Parts: sequence; structure tokens; C-alpha cells
Amino acid sequence: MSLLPPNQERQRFGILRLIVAGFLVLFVLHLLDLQVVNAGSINKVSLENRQKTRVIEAARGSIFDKDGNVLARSVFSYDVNVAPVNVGPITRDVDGASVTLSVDQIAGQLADILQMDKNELLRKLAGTGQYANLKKRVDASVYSQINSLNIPWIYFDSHLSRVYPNGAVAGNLLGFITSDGNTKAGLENKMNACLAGVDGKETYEQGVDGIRIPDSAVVAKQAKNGGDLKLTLDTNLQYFSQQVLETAVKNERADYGTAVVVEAATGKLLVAAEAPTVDPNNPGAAIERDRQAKVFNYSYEPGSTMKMITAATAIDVGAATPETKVIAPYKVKMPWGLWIKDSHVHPPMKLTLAGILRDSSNTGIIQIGAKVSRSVRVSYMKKFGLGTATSLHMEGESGGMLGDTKNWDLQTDKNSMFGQGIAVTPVQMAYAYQAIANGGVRLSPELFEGCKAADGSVTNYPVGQPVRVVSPATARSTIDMLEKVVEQGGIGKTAAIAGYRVAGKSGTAQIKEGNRYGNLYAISFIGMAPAESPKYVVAVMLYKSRRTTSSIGATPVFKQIMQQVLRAYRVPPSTTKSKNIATEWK
Amino acid sequence: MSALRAATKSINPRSSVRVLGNLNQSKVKLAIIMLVGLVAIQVLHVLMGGFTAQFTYEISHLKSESRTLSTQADVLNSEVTSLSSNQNLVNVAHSLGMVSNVNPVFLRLSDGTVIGKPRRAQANERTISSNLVPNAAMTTDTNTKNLTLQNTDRVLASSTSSVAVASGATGSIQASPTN
Repeated sequence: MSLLPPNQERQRFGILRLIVAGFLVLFVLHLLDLQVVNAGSINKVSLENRQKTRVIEAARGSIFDKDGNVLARSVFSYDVNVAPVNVGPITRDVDGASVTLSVDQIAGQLADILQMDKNELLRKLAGTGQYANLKKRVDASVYSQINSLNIPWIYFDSHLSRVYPNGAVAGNLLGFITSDGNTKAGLENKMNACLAGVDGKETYEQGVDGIRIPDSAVVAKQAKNGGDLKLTLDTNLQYFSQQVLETAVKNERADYGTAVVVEAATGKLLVAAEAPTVDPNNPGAAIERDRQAKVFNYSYEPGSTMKMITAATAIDVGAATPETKVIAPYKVKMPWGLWIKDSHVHPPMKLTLAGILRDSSNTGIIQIGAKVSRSVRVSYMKKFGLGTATSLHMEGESGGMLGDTKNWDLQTDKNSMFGQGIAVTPVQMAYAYQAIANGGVRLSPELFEGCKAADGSVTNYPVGQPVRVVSPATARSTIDMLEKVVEQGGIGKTAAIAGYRVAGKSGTAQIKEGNRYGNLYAISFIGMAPAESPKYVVAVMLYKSRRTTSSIGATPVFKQIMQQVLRAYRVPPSTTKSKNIATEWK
Repeated sequence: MSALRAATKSINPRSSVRVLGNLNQSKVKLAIIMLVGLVAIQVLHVLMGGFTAQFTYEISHLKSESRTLSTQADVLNSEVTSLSSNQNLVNVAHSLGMVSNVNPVFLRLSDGTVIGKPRRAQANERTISSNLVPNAAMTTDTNTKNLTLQNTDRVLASSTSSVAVASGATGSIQASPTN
């Protein structure tokens, strides 16, 4: 049946086979090129096109108070985004009936939930773009509400955000974090090594339409969450103290107020309150001054609360006893021509050292202070913790100011005995009194109970070494004298608490305005209770009080906070009486 | 050559056909086994694909549910934190007319002595009013409009000490409605 001669048919069949073989060789070569020669680069391009990398955010650790109350934690927040090109009416099934919602109606619902202007939303929904952000970092509640609307052209990006459930409670210490995750100020910044985690990485594949292929994710690097920081603070007491301070600052029309509560035997800082202060959830609402810890960062001339240190020094070196007698006039002219005066006009008074503290006599305390050399007095000031920052080394912490003590002029030397010409922080002064309350041993402030890492390991932070400042006998004598301030002192009496023996000292310090002292004062009261065996120290200060210009404006604040401390820690009332010490002589 | 010829002669053509027939039969069997195998593999593949798709869908659904529950937990956690915050409690106490008594009285159990002078708490300018400590993290608060502390005034008037007030004036507070 062949139309060609057999030899030609064989020849053509051979040509065909050659052609097929040629194509086959070409295909094989191309296959080799694709699979072997250029396989790497082709694979790379392919992977780049479909594989995406995503950072897995590590959760930042929480901050707890001593009782485990959360002061700061990380939660998910959500950016609400839209693809304007896809925006359109949606149809919903309501009770079996199909209902169509217009874009205008949807915008109205979104505006209510997002608390935004509807017209602004409509502007964002218009256009042909693939992306527009409606609102950044909404909380889970808002996310939930929007998600339940089932709007197909709305999508979310989740982020870990920082939330401070107690608001401004201890906001001055906590610091805050900006929306881009940067730590700003406070413990958030200082303790970042404990709190911050290490971000992880995951890769996933996406289709040509940009949609993520389900379950294509591969974790390339596990995220490591940050550790939890536990503080010694008592949130409830801190809140109470801030409430009291807010009221006092408002009533006294002061610039600001501070309150520090210390557990005498352990040095634990229970309260470091301020008013006004910052709510870390909304730091922008506070002025710069209030976005930091003034209890650590701001120093002031302490005034008469310093007399406790001068008196304890004189007793400890044997230069005086609580009943050392002096005659204290209203004013004394110094050999260099300047006057030192008491706060009010009075005839010369025959006072003991206890009486000097009771009446807060400047002219009396300089006579006691003069019995001790300047260098010894300065060394005691330093042992009491003045002049250097605490071992906590808080952000921007001030060490106060003693100045060049060797070159103090004669007036500064005298002034330092009653707390002028030097500067201290509220925390320094609280721990000076803690030393007396703790039998003469000053402890370093303890604020951190530890950092618990994600793997469960706990890191403790070392505290400074205790410092023996004065002997136990001196400490006891000093407390006995301070009790007379509260029992008999004109202002001190207002700090008394029914049922408890309280020891303390008031301070009304002038504030420098340029080179001169102005008309406003830093009024303060620092005390301890129960005086027979002090458990807690409370130090209160109101800066530039405009209504009451003596420490009588600070004692009610001290009293309220100390009462709350004694009640909260169930300290039993005193059952003994104070030591009988003469405050005057004939 | 003679040997080859002899061998060729000795092969029976009929037996040669039978051998070829046997060979074809085993090839057919092999082909059928391979075909059945391929079909089985293909069916298995389809079934596996179906199961995988089903499990993937289920995993995806569970993940979505987990996310939803996690979000709900966040919302509830936030509400509980807000309602139990000092700020909310102080506002509720204030709205009920409660004032912190700064004159606590203690009973010494050893001898029954009452320490301190029982006095009724009085509101004055130094008394803390409503919350003064801001908290932007509060997502909800107690709706104080519906709160009532019944008979408070009557109990206070008839009581002789703050101890009695503390133990007797429980009143009735409605379950915490929230804003």
C-alpha cells in the first residue's frame, strides 16, 4: 500500500526520527538548563514572588506590684484598614431577608464604633487604592465590634501595644512607650533588659492575588517574650496617696506634691507618689515636668526636717543629749553681719535639744550644730544618704546638692544645720528618717523584687549595702525627741494619729528664685509610726504651696497617708507612752 | 554450521508459540497490576487530598475560633480591670455618699479595750471626693445612676459608733451595671 518506494520510505522515516531526536535533545537541553544550570536563580525568583517574611512580635513583659497587681502589660491592638478599590454596598441576611447596606450606612456604623466623623470616614473609603488606614491601634473591644459587622473590604493589622490598667497610678515611675514601640523614660526604659523580648521571624507563601496561602507559614526564628518585673510598690496605697496629694495640691494651690512611704525594717519602697502626674496611657496629656519621677529627680532645700540630722549627729558624737540646754532667742546676728531668725517672733526661750526640735528653733539648732565640726557634720549628712543618688540609679535621678562642703561660706555652714543652702530629693530625706526608724541603719531603697524571665528563671537585683549611720541608742533618743514634736509642737500636733505614737518633724523651707529666696515655700512633714517600734516612714512635701505657707499644710496629708498605711498593714495601736523628756528648762 | 542446523531443526514451532503466549500473558498481568496500582495510588491521593483539605479547613477554623476567643478574653479582661480599678471603686463609693473615716477604732482582744474614739466620718474640703487619678485605659465603668445604698441615713443616725456602721450598714447594692 506504500506510495513511495521502500528505500525512500525508509529514508523519510529516518529524517523524521532525526527531527524528533533533535527536538528531544533540545527539550533535554532546555530541561537541563531549567533544572540544573539556572535552577538556583529560577527557584530564587519563584520563592521571592510567592514567599513573604513576617516579624513575629515578642510580647513585652508585664510590670507587677508587690501583690501581683498588674501595672503594665502588653495587649493586642489593631489597625483598621480598608482597600478603597473594593469598597461597595454589602448584603446581609437579616431574619431570612436579604438587606443591602449602602457605603453611607456602613460608614455611619463604623463612625459610631470608631468614634470618628462620618464624613472623614467616607473620604477615606473613597478612591481606587489598595490601602487606606481608618484608625490606628484600636483595642480588642472595637476590633470585635467591627469584625462582627463582616465587612469584606475591611481588614486588620494587629500589633502588641502597652496598656497601664491602673492609669496614672505610679505613672511617674513606670514611664511609657511610644506608639512605635520605643521606650520613653521611667522603668520601661531603665528595666528594658528585663522587659523587652526578642522578635521572631516567620515565612509564609502567598498566591498571585496576594492572599496568604493557609498553613504555609514556617517559623524561621521563635519569638522570645520579655520577662515580668515585680516591684515593691503597693498599688492601693500608691493610689490612695495620689488621691490625697491631688486633693492637697489643689487645696493648697501648690506646684506639685510628693509622698514617699518606706517599710522601715526592709527599706522597701511602698509608695512613691506625686501629684500631678502622668497617665502612661496618655502621656501627651501631661506637661514635661510631670512625665518624670520628681521624688527621685527633683531636689529641694529641706528646711527644718534637716534638724533631725543635726540633732542626731550631735547626740551620736557625744556633743549633746536630748536634754542639752540652750537659750534660743528669736534672732541671732552672726559675726559676719547676717541674721539667723526663727519663724516667729518670741522672747528668748530656755529649750532643751528636744525643745529645739519641738519648736523648730533655728537659733537653737545652730548652737547644737556648732558643737560638732563641719567635717563631722558633713560626713554624717553623707552617711544619712544626702549628696549622692540612691543605689537604684533611676532615670535622671538627682543626688541632691551639698555643694563644695570644704569651701562652704560661714552662712551656708550655719544654714545647713536647719536645711537651707543644701538640696535633697524626697526619697533621700525619707531614707534619712528610715535610718532612725531602723535603729540607726540606713538601708538602700528597694524597688525591684525581681525579674522573672519567660523561661521561669528569676533575676534578683542587688541593693546597696546597709549603712550604720548612728548608734541604736542615738536612733532611739532621736525618735523620742521627734515624738515630742508630734505630742507638743504647735504644728506637729496636727500630725498626731489617735491610738498611735507618732514621731516626726515638719519643714518649711524657703525656695530660691534666682539669687534670692522668694515668698513661696516647700512645706513638708516626715514621720514614723508607731514610735515605740517604727514600722513605716511617710515623707510628704508640697512645693510652692500658695494657700498655707507653713508645714501645717503638709501635716494633714502625712496624717491621712500614715493612717491608711497603719490600717492597710494592720499595725496594732500603741499600748505604751512616750519617754518623758524635758523640752524646756528653768 | 551443522550443529546450528541440527539445533534449529530440533525446535518445535508449536512449542515456540506457547512460550510467546506465556510471555504475553505475564506482561498483561503486569500491566493490569500496574494499572490497578496506579489507580489505587490516584484514589488514595484524591482521598488524602480531601482529608488534608478538610483538616486544613478545621485547623483554620479552630485558629480563627482561638483568635476570636482570645480577643473576647482581652475585652473581658479589660472590662474586669476597669471595673475593679481603684478609680471606678472610688467613683462608685463617692456616688453612694461614702466617706473614708479617718478615725479608725480598734478592739484589743486581750482585754477588750477599745482604742481610738469612734466618730462619724464627715465630708469636708480635705475629704477625698471622686477619683482624681486619671486612667485612660478604662474601657467601662459602673453606671452609678442605678446604684442605691438603702437605709444608709437611718442606720447612720441610729448607730453610736463607726464600728456599728461598718457592721450594719450593708444596704442593698444592685449587681454592677456597666456603662
